[in-house]
Amino acid sequence: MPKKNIAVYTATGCRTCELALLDIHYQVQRLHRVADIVYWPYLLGSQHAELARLEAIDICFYAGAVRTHSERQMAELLRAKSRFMVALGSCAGFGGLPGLVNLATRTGPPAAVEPPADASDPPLELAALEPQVAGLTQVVAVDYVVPGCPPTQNLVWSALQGVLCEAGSQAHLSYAASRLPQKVAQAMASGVRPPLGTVFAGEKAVCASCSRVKEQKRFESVKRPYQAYESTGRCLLEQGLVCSGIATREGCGGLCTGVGIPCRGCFGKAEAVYDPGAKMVAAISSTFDADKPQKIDAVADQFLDMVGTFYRYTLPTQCALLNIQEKG
Amino acid sequence: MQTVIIDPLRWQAAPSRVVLSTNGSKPQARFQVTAPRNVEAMALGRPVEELPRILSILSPSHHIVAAQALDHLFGVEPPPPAATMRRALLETLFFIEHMQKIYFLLTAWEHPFRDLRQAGRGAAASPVPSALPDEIMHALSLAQEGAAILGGRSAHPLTAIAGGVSRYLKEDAYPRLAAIADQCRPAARRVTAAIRESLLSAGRPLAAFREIAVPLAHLSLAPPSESRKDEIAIVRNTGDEPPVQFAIEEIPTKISVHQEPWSYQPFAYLQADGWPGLSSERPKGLFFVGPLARLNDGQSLSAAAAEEERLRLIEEMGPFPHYSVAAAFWALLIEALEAVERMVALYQKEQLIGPSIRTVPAQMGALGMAALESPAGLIFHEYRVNSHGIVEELRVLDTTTANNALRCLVAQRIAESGVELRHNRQETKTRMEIGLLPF
Repeated sequence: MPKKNIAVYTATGCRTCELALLDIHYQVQRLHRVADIVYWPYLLGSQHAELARLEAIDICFYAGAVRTHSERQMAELLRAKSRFMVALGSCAGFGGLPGLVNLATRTGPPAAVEPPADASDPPLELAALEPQVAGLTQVVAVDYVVPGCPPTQNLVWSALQGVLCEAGSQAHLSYAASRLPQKVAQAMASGVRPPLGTVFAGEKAVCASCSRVKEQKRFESVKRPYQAYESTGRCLLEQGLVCSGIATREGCGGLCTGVGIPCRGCFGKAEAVYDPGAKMVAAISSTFDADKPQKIDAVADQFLDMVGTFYRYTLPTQCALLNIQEKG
Repeated sequence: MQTVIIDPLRWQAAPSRVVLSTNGSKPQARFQVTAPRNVEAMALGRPVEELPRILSILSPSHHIVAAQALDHLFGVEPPPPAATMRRALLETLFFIEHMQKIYFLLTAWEHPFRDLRQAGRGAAASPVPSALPDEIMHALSLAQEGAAILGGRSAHPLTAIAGGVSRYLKEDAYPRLAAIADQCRPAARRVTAAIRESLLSAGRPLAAFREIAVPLAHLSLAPPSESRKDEIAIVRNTGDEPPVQFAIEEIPTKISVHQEPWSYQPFAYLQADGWPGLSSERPKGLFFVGPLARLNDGQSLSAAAAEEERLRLIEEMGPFPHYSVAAAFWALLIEALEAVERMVALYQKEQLIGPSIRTVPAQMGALGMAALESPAGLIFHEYRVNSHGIVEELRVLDTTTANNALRCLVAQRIAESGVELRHNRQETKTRMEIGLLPF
């Protein structure tokens, strides 16, 4: 089988997704046997002109949110040249942390470029900012998504193997396969490319794989992570901590909750969830341990920054209310 | 006028490019950051306890300094095991980030996706022993596992919270941590010796970068001492001027940022001196941070292997202070050796257990701040919150802002030397990327 061409690019983000790919290469020690990395500015120093010269790319891994006009242009160019486009990480998949900028009234300087002081000065124009930070999925058609901030190494490897169409046993995929939908894991084991639109993570919510014990579904009062809460293995939400595990796609194995930190939804919404914020409001309010309107109001008043919490990684793409407003 | 744009640059945390222009004999280089991060916009309006997770988008060390700022805001002190766990995580991050930069340096000569079976055949063309990148990546992989054990995750850690850490380690973590440190230590020594011999010594490829030097003041934190209870920031100037010292709380009044319209990254400078611009030979008011800034303080190191390496640098290049790119790479190796010795010392069960790992806050203040020497240099956080603990004001000094002026000046020096040495575009690009990497 001929080697596939791979391109890797990061827009606005933190490089962690790219480094996850590098770590994978080291750990599997065989990426070069099945693929040629033909474009990777961060690691190979590939220049824009090299991309223009490339006729076709088999698979493009695009990480980061789309913040500037040039990042949008890169997304469009890479999409046009790539057979398969993979959104790598929460920023590309859903807008990620940079998407929170859309809530801010102030945005970062500089807003405009001053003309050169001297006509002989070199051109120094910066790419203009987009009106809103967007996920890659809002800018171009995306074939696959590898969620997470950053994506776990096993899921990155499963995505590489799956999209490259390299057959491998479920035993080889081990941990990743156990968290992937069965049809995806089976396709990969057979060397068949998973269906377009596959999200390389689970289908259920994080709660399905969280190791914490759910005892009673009662939400009496809101606790904040700096306040006292049990260091036992009891469900964080039941203890009053806002934990987005119930609305978030599984695949991490309850990584944050496992170390006593509430989930903030970096894998995006679970398959059956329409809007993660609405799901969180519904899930929490339905278990309020209060029967009178005043008591319910008192509990509800304790919630702060619900938009910034429930859509921490997904505001541009998964907040249904915002998207409806944008579509008019 | 001829203009060359090197876009993008390898290995830079923020998307960056250099615009080179020559008009006559003197070239002009501008180092530009081409996309903003705007962490302030992400953090304003959030509950303050969320900042250790949000601000780790800048680097994993920001997770730790953000937790320290929460300690200050809530007026709590982490119990000793929690403080040790955070410190152990930080030392691990030093090792990871410095080794990662050394790995990137090696990829200037060795293709990172080369076929290992064929690597030996091309060894003669590379100044680097062919097994070295593999050894670094193996050590990195182990250290990342150590960071994940301590911080919950390696890249964006989770466990540092107000007043301590979120959980005890599991019983099987202690022997694993000890094994990781025991394997990283000899790897760090072998890598250091190999890099010194193959790249840094006289006549080797990085020796040419001894000429690429930008003498600027340097800023670092001085730990508490017998005569002084608190940590202070010290700016040491390049000439005979006495150092400037100030308390951590004074950082916002002593350091300002300047915004140029041609870069999305602001420039830090000393407010007392005003913004000097980037064109003068020794611009007073500009400074840099990082491993070389710390070593320029001239203090001996506690770890024997690191101190031996520091003395080797002095023997080879003369006494501190140093300002060259070559010295900055050597500083990475010295600090990696120091970090791995501290990992060995801190990855001990008896240091990581105790009756408590968290001091639960009883009250909330209005202002939280903290400074930390991170792998890339001094970082500082300051938050002002309302009565609900919602962030209303935020000030973050990160190393890309602190070293932005230095990077511009390094790019300028490399452009000038490139004209003198008649480098072609590819040579200039590679030298530019190598020159900017250790800062």
